[in-house]
Amino acid sequence: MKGKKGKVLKVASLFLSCLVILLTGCTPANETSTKQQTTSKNSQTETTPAKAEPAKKKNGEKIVIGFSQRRVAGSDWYTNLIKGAEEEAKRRDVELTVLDAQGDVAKQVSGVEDLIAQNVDAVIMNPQDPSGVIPATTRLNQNDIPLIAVNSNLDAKANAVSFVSDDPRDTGYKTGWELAKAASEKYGDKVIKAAMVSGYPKELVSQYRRNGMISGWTDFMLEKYGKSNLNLVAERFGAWVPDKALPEMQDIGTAHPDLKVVFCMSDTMLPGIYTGLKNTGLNEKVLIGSIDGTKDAIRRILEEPKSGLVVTVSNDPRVQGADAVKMAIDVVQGKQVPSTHYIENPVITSKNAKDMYDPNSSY
Amino acid sequence: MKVNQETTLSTPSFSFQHSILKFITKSYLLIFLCLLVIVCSFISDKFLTFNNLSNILLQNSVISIIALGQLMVVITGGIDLSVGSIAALASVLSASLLGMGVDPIVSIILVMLLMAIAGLGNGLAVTYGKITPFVVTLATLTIYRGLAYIFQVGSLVTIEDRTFLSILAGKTIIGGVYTPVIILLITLGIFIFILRMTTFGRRLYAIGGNSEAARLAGAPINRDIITAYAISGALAGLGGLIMTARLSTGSALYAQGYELDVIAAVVVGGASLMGGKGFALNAVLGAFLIGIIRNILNLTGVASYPQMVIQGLIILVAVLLTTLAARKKA
Repeated sequence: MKGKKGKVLKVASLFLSCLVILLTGCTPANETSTKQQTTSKNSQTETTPAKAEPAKKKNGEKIVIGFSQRRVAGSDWYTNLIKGAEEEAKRRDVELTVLDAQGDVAKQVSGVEDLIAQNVDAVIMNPQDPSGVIPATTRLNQNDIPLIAVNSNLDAKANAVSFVSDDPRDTGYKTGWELAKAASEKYGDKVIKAAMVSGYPKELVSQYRRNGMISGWTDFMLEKYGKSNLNLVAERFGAWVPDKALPEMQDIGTAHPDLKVVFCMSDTMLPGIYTGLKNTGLNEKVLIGSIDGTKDAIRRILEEPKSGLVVTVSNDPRVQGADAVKMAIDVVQGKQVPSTHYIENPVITSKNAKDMYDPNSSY
Repeated sequence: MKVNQETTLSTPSFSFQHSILKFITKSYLLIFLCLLVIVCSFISDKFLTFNNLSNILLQNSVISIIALGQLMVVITGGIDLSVGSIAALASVLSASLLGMGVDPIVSIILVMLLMAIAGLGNGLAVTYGKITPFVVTLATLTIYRGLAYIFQVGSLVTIEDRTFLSILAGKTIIGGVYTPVIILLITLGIFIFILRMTTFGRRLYAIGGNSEAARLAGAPINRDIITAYAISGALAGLGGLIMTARLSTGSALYAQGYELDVIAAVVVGGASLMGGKGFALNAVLGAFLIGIIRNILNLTGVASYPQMVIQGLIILVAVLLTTLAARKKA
């Protein structure tokens, strides 16, 4: 018995040491990726017009900004949001302290209190809950520290100076419009069977993007033909991930072999959409419109016109992070800022995909 | 174990009527599935089409493969909540290995080995650490998912390696049947053999049924439990690899909540979460039962929220039938 135990342990330790070797063996991949990121960082700073002059307070002191982020782990999007903010802060020579609330409202509140104790000049907050963080924002107001909300809505009681975000309705609208344009070129004013794959039921972003897409499509068709031809045969939810979108797309494809158009709410679900269409024999037949403007989607538009993807509309987290920092600097310097600032969301189609494609982009 | 031996020993039955009853109680799941297929074919004319059947087979093979590993753990009286995270970790690791130019076959084997080690970790903590399986795998669920995020290079890693794709998600000579289905069938065959014919398999039932008795009978309990978790890990890894190949993309976001889908399949398949009970074929049938219901609801265009309710109800009904059948048997 003892001998066996020892054997098991031996085997186990052998395996574990293999694991350690392999894991360390994997690090070079990560290193190269960070290298890639730094090069992309360089190319970004190169493309940004004029190295911005360092931003200082009126009395010439360095500006200190606190960034309270609701959650980082597990989200590439949030990671890039922080990255955008950090790059902008570096560019303007501003000190940025980022705190991760790890998806916990209480942690976010105490985090903001820590920022107040550190005498920051402004706080950028991506709130975990619109009203749950009110105790923290009240403290900010009492201490006359300006608050900028980014990405997620804040309750009006929070008295945020400005809200920096994407405009999901507008991004949706642009996607719907471009998709309608592509469909009209292919099918004219025939009735089009379309399906929609969004994130979660009753989720605001899903709903806004959906409504935007439908009104964009409808407006285009009304303008061109004086009637709408959209026959939305299925609305399904892919939880914003490709493996959940796949079976949904497959079933839609099976139920509607004459499907013409797919509205996809996010580029992250696209791999599932492609495979689902392929398995039902609908690939190369269906036109797809999507949102987010990720590197891989742009590459598809550019290199694989047969994939059916005709449009993606940019929703770049790095721009959101950078714009939030810009707003914070402006507020600290006493400049006027808009109460709501929507980031730019350029449309990406085959016409401009080449200019928009950056193979080293981290997003 | 006693109960099981008795039932297998008393299989030669005395009367025709008795054997029919026996057949019904034993393969109620298969009957239920057949009925479901018949009903579905009436509900939607798309259901019994070649394309749809091929899709159903393909869609549910990943869950079924992971469910087989889960079944092994469940038979020992444990539970493995980390399977979804292990699948995601496998996906990310395979993508980065292929990205580094490692041979596809080597990467597949290596990833499955590593995931077996991940499962082995669960087993060690359960046996030598004496922590309850639920807690251990709840912890590793976050740990392995976290590792997956750490290893992820960029957001989604596209895989273009032909060999990798055709081994794990390619077409076979039989039209409409893809390799994942074949992989499932092979795995299922191996599992039926292990659980029925080998002493290791029989010992797993004994451990789950009454671990104290198994210990007294001299079964190497710790080693068996660790092996079960390692196999579960390896199969979760295999599931993750297939998913990666099907989507030709590696991502740490995959397989979120799969642990619950898999446990549902195992339970619908008649396994008891208390351990000591469960059959390999039934676990796969359980997975297909849930999958087919989702498929028919989608084909008929039932909206998402009622779908969730209906799926939950079906799980309850299926488990109710299982317990009734078990009571009949006893």
